[in-house]
Amino acid sequence: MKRNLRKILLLLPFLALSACQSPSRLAQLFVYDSADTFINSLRVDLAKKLDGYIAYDINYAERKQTTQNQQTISALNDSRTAILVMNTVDRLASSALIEKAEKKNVPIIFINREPLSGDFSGSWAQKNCYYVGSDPSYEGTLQAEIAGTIFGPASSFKGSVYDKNGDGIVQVVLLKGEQGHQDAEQRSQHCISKLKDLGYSVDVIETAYCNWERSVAKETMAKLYSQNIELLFSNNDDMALGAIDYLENLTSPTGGESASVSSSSSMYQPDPSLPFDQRYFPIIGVDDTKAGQSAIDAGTLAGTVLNNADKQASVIFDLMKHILDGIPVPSYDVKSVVPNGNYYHVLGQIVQKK
Amino acid sequence: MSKPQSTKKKLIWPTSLAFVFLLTTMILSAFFLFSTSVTSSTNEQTLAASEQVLANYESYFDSVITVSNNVLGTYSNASEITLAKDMGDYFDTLETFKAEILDMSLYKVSDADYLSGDSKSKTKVSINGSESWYTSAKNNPLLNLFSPVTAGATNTFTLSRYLTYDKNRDLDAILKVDFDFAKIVNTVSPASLGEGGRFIIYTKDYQKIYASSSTGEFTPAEQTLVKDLVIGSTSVNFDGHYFYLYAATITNTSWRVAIFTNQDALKTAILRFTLIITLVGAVVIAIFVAALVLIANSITSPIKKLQKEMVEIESLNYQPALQSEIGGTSEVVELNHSFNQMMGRIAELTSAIVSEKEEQRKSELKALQNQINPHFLYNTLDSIIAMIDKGEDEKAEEMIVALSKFFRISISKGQAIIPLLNEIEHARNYLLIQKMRFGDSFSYTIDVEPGLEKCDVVKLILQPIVENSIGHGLKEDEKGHIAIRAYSDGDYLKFDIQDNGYGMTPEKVDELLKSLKDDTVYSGVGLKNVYQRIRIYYGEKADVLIHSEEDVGTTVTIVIPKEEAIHHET
Repeated sequence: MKRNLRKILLLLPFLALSACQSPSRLAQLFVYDSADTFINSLRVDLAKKLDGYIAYDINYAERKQTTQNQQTISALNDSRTAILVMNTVDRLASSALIEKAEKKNVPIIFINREPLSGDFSGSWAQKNCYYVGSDPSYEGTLQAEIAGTIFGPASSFKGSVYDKNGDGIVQVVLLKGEQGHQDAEQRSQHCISKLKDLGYSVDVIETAYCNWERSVAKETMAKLYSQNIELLFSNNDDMALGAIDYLENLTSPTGGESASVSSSSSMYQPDPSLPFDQRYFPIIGVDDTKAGQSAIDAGTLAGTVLNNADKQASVIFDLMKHILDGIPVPSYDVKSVVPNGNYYHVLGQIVQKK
Repeated sequence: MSKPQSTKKKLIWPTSLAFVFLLTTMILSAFFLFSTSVTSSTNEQTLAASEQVLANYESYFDSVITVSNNVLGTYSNASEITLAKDMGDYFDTLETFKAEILDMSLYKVSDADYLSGDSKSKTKVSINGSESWYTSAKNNPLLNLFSPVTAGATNTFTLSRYLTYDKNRDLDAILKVDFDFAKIVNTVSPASLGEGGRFIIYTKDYQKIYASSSTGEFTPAEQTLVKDLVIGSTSVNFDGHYFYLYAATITNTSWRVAIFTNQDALKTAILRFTLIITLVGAVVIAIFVAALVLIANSITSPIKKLQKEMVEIESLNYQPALQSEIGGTSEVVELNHSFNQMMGRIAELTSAIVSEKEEQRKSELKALQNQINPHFLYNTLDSIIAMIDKGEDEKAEEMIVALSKFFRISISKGQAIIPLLNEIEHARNYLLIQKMRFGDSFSYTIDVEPGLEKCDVVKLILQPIVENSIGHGLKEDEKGHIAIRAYSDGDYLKFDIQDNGYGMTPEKVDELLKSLKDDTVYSGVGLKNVYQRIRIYYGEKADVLIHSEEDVGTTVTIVIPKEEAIHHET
């Protein structure tokens, strides 16, 4: 009896310790910026799936890679950490994070910010590192396809209601998110090249950087409006909505000030009786945010490409289960997810008014 | 049962151990607290300094990339017709604002032809298209690419960038910008990193971009340390120094930076602290133990003195001499005081008892001396009267003289102790008187060993025994003889009183001896009287022996310790 009691007393600290360690494994989520709308919806979708499967911590880096590096080191020092889900601030830091995680043998799923092609080349990385994200070039392609459905066949573009100056060439304005941003560059490049592939003659009259922001896009539109614009591609819905904000003011009954500007600077008087995209020009975004969807329903946004946060969250979740518990990754519909080695690209979907 | 420990041991050992344990714990905690706090505060400072260095680099590269991005933006909106001139002007403008830009030029992606450049550009020639800055930018259209820093006097590096020209993809171009790296390098002086301190910029493949050390090398030893850390911070011992190593990625570049900051001072401080605290601890322990021993001694030594005194009480020759005050604690002083009082009381009681006993002995002795038979006086006086009646005047006179001597010695001015010769003389007078009375019916001899003249003895010890011998010992039908001998035998002074009378049976002798030693049987006369008196005076060592043989005679021997006899010499 006494011996048993002693044994129990000896075990007590360990019991207490093990009680503290109740979540035996932990997923660590790293988010580059808590203010990013898309990443937030992705986080919410993923969190819903993780509840009941694995405990998780979320680390916000607030656009500082130094902060994220420190958070990663802390997470790796936590013995409970079983997996890292990493939305890097600077995708160039991916290689260092992989190297660091390899020391502790903790797998990483990169999301949204794609590591460089060489980063997964190590033998450990090949087994333990994955990427899940959208395919920005495909999104650009889809944007061009939306334009194609609006304009109709390229051969009949000349003289159509959309060919405002009748030259048969599509005058395009690009609203870019950031200079040198991966998604911005790829979407921009591919929407133009696809449009050309569809047979249209294209003239990019202006490439404007609006920092992904609605208000900046509205100001930019005010400057560009005087030119003959026949199509507007925006890298995201927010900037597209900014452009729409400006145009809507021109024809609104209260927009007296804007109307006077338009009458003097625009080559064509907007005809309020025409549908929005014919009155001005088709505006095509990416993301399919709530506001974007409303604009589509209102007819102001001609179309957008769904950047499917929920689908991405599903793929991330599938990969986590695969890594942690060996559950096979399901085979996906090729039109929604394209696996390529350790890279999983979730394809965008065209969203237009039905 | 183990032997009980002394107070000193009991006091010193546990207290010393407890103190040493306490002090050691305190020293260890102090050491732990000091080293962790000083290490963490130093590390924090070094980390902050390292992060500042990194921040300097990042803001530098941020501005470099801003240049690249601005060029990209400007290029994508430039008019195709005036492209070369517009970009050239733009480059010149940039260079006036950005002193670190050394050279800017544009090359077509399609055929590597020179497209535009700043006005002072020396490289207004087409390239062959195999240059690494050119091919890497061409292959990574979304990245800003950096060449390694050229070694030598001019620290420069090249940024190359793929520029998309959305209006006409045929005019996609590669931007090449040469930057002066010295300016940013100089913001971090290796001296500020301490002796041997250095920083190294390297690629993700651990290829050196820039190393601040004099050799400009990224040594294998450094590489091992940096590869082990990847990113973060750690303490390393290398090149004979302690370093705080900080490694980080430089945002927007594929580069990383490793900063070695010398931390020898920290280790020295910890070492010095350890030495000092250990030394202080040892001294404190030594002082404490010494103080403890002193305190313990001051407590226990008076107790020991007291204990010694008490041990002496147990021995017989104890003299209550302990009157001096013993120092020590109040308890011990009180204890000593009480002990002294107790001993004083005991001495008082003892001396009272001794004097009482003395009184009692004297009175008993007197009483016993006074028991000497008065009938002897009457009988002798009767004999003298008879002699006078018979006209034997001379005999009567002789007897009166003897009687007078006999009584003089008997009284001896009230003294209990008299010279041995007087005692012999007393016995002789008695014998003389009795012989005269009984008409020469016996003879006697007295023999005193020479050298005993100076002894003193209790008086009237021979006469009662001689009286017994005359009264009971002599045969009626033959002439008796009584021999008195005084001699020394070893430590004893002995008197033999021998007669040649009837003697006694051994049973009778035993009975007699028994009655001598039995206090309950009281016989006021003769032998027992003598026995009691010598026992009172001389104690256990004094004795009376009887040797008797029927029809041969009896010898009574009085034994007294010679020491006592000589002791009373005056």
